[in-house]
Amino acid sequence: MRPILFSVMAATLFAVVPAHAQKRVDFDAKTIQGDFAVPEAPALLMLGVATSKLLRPMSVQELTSNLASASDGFSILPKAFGVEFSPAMLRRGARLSIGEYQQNPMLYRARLSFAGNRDSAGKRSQLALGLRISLSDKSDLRTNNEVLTAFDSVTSIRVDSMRAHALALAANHLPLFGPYTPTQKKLVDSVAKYVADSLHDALKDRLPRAIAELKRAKESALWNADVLDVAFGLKASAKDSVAHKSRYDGAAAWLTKGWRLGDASQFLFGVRNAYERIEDDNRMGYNGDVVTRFYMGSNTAKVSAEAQATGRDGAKPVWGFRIGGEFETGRSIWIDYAAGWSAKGSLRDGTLTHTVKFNLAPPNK
Amino acid sequence: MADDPVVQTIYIDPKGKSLSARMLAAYGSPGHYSLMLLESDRSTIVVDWGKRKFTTPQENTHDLPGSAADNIGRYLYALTSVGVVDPSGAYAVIMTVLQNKEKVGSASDSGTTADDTKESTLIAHLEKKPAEVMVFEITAAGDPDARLKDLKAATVKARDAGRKRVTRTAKRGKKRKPR
Repeated sequence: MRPILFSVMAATLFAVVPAHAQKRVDFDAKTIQGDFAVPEAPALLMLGVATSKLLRPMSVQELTSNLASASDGFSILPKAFGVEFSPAMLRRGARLSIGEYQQNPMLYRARLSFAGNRDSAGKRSQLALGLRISLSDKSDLRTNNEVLTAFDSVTSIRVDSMRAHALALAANHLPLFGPYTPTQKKLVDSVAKYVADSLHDALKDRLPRAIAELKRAKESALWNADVLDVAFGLKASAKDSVAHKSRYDGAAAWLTKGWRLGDASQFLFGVRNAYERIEDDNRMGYNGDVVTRFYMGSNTAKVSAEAQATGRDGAKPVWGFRIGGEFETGRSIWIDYAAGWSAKGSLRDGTLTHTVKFNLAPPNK
Repeated sequence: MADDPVVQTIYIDPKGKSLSARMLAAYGSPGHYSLMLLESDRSTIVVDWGKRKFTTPQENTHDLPGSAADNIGRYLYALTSVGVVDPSGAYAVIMTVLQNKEKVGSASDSGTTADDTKESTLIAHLEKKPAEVMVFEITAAGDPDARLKDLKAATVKARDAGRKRVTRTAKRGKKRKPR
């Protein structure tokens, strides 16, 4: 009986690999902030389009090609589809220096998102547009001083090494690059070996230390940095895929402020407010959430405490409190657990909630 | 470490104004580079600008010594190491050669990588602009509305004209040789 039970459990764990593996790649604070946080692509969230449909074009050509393939021939509205990009990076990224980026980081961090959802017959086709702006983001590697200092150390050592090789060849009156005659090749190899040995002794500790410091600085920046993000989104729908009888379906705004508390914890405050069509009775109404979350931990274990209030037009407020966490039990196996209290209207009328999940994810480096 | 060097021949006008080289690490990447001007023997260093930090295009632009003609046959030799900071892993390092502050050519290395840093070697061989290229540019500039087929025709015409000149010069040279 026991082997069968284990087999079923193992099969269940492996069955969830693709979804969780993808979610865990960017394993930082943002991934556990939940729905209340400023979304990566507001347009996708507004339409409920799966993030697997999201494309992030790196060039204008890629963007136009993505849009062309999504529009599927003659229709104007695309099928289930999402695209997110920074217009400024798309336009200038391939010739943008770090100095220019640092002069106006907010412009380059601003990201536009589009999403489309052309459902099966009988349902309206939907389209959404979103804008996300990071007003302040210490996790931005291009502006985080600690990360930049670490990058400076590593790249400086690497260029010194390459220069040492070039200068040694020049000192021996040998060409700095090929083609070489057979005699030159022998001499170049001999000089290269001598320089490599000398550098190995000189940089024995320096380079690995600088690389380790860079990894630590990047992890620290991505884990619990101070952030202030805002986002806006609009959505519309049409009766068919060629935009007949189109109408405005709502707007939403998000704000998240995160405070770094020491090396291992962060406090987050998030607000979402929306004015959108209520599906059941086809009228417009307000809804919103306010959430606070404190969490503490590291890349391998963390605990969190969260409080949330949700309000909707014509409905009682919903309250929620939750304490939970997640930890890595072994290589790649994660356990998520949470227990809390959820109530509608009066807090006294609530119920206890709890969840335990097993996830399989790539190990943290 | 660095892959094979990127070598690019860049044609300059020997009668034009002086040259400069501009180094850029795109996608807002931090990093360092080393830039040298080498003689045509590829081993004698004419100028060594030392190790520099990637900052802005203005600060990373270096004037080449002497006139444009003095630099024909020489090599610009750049060693770079940049931090990969774009979430997509994209990097690009570009060495642009400018004449009279206008771009005349570039050598670049770009792509995506999962590594933290990317090292590259960029080499620009400065060469005299060939005659047919100069004739072609005059033709194209003289007729701003020239369509692609006109440009192709102009290129062929210019190339033929160049060949004829070379042939005539060769024949004259041959006649002058004492028997």
